[in-house]
Amino acid sequence: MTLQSKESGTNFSAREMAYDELKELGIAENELIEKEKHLTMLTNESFSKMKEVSKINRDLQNRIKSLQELSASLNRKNEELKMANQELERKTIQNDHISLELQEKLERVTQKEKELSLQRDFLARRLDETTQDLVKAEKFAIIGELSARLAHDLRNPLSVIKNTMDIMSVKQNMKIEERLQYVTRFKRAVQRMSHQIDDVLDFVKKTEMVLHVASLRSIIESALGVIIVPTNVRISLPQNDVIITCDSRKLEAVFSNIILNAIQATNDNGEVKIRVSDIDSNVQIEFEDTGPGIPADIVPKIFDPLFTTKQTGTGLGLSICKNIVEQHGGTITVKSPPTIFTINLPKNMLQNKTNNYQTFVTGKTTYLRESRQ
Amino acid sequence: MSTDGQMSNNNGHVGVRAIVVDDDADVREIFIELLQMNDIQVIASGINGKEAVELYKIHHPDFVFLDYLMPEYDGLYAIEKIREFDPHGKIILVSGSHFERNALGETVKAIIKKPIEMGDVIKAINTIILPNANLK
Repeated sequence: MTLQSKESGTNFSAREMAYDELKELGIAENELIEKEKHLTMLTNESFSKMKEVSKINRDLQNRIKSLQELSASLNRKNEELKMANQELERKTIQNDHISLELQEKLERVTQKEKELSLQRDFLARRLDETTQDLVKAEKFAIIGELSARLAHDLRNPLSVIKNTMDIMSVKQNMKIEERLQYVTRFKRAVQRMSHQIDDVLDFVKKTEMVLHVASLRSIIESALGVIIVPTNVRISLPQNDVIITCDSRKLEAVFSNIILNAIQATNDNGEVKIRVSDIDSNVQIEFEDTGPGIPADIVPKIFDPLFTTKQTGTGLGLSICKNIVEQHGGTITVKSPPTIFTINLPKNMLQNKTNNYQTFVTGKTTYLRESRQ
Repeated sequence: MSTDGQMSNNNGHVGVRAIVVDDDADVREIFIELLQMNDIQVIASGINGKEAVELYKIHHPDFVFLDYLMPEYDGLYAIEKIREFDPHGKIILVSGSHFERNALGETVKAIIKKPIEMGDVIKAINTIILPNANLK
């Protein structure tokens, strides 16, 4: 203003001009203030935005961090899994190995088993052979003893024949009665020899079975028919009867042999009881005598061939009986005292015996021949 | 044939006294007849070892013809019993079985096998009674 006053005179228009300029400056100033305000606002705004961004950034960083952590832990887990997998693979290989080994061992065991079974078969065969050899040896022993006994038994009648011949050749002129006496001796000797030979043959060879349907009672009765029963011996027959399929001629021989033994056991004074029992598909025949009984040490040997307590016996009687009963598929046993011989026979031996026999049927008769093995 | 032997040795046996023991009647009777035809006097006969011993004690024979297998008392029983009281007793075993003479002892002087061959019997008697004969 000072300036304006000093110069008022000089320049009015200049004053006006300054005023305008001042006014313009004021406007500009306002504008600036406005702009400043705006700027400040913008700054504030950007500041807050920056703050926001930095927050987002922080958040993101945090996320990244946690993601990194997660990734690391995943990696770790993955590593662990890898290791576990490796371990598994190792174990699998090991297992495969073991499995292979086991398989090998199993094969070896199977092989061993095969070998053992072969060995067992071989041993079984050897046992069979040895048993057969033993049976054969035993048979030979029996044959040896049998022939020794037969030879001994034949020598007595042979001696009679020879010596009678000796006498007859010296005594040329014999009376008829005297000659007859010698002939009787010949006959007796020959009879004895053939009887002894028959007995042995009966024992040695199993003849064909001739099967009929027959009544047991009738077989027992005809067995008694060939025996002379002493007057002081009572024979009590069974009241009942059973019909069986058998070789009646052979069974008759068995019964008469046992009855004769029983009578001899009573010392011709006592009783022989014969019982018949029907037991299902079998029949049981018992022969009991009132004799003193069989000594205990003899009982086990009683059916052995050549075993005898009699001087004149061949020791074959009961052995032949046993053979015949067994040919029928039956059993014979003895217990004492009192002495009871028990025979068990199937009523129809054809039912269970046909496998081992060849059969020939003619009319009502069946022939059985033991098959060769 | 045995008849030849019987004839040629007849004279040597006159007066020989014997006992025959055998359980078989036919064998015993025919043997006795044959011995007597050969001038051997059979003074007694029996059917088992026990009778053999009893008859021996009674008759003191020159010979006993003894069977081996007999019921109840067999030949061995007689051999042992006779040896007890007469160790020099002369027994001729007549048997169908085979025996080793040594097993039966000194009293058994000979063993005759059945069927009886009379020639063997005569030979056995000669060997036992003739002084120059081999006593074995």
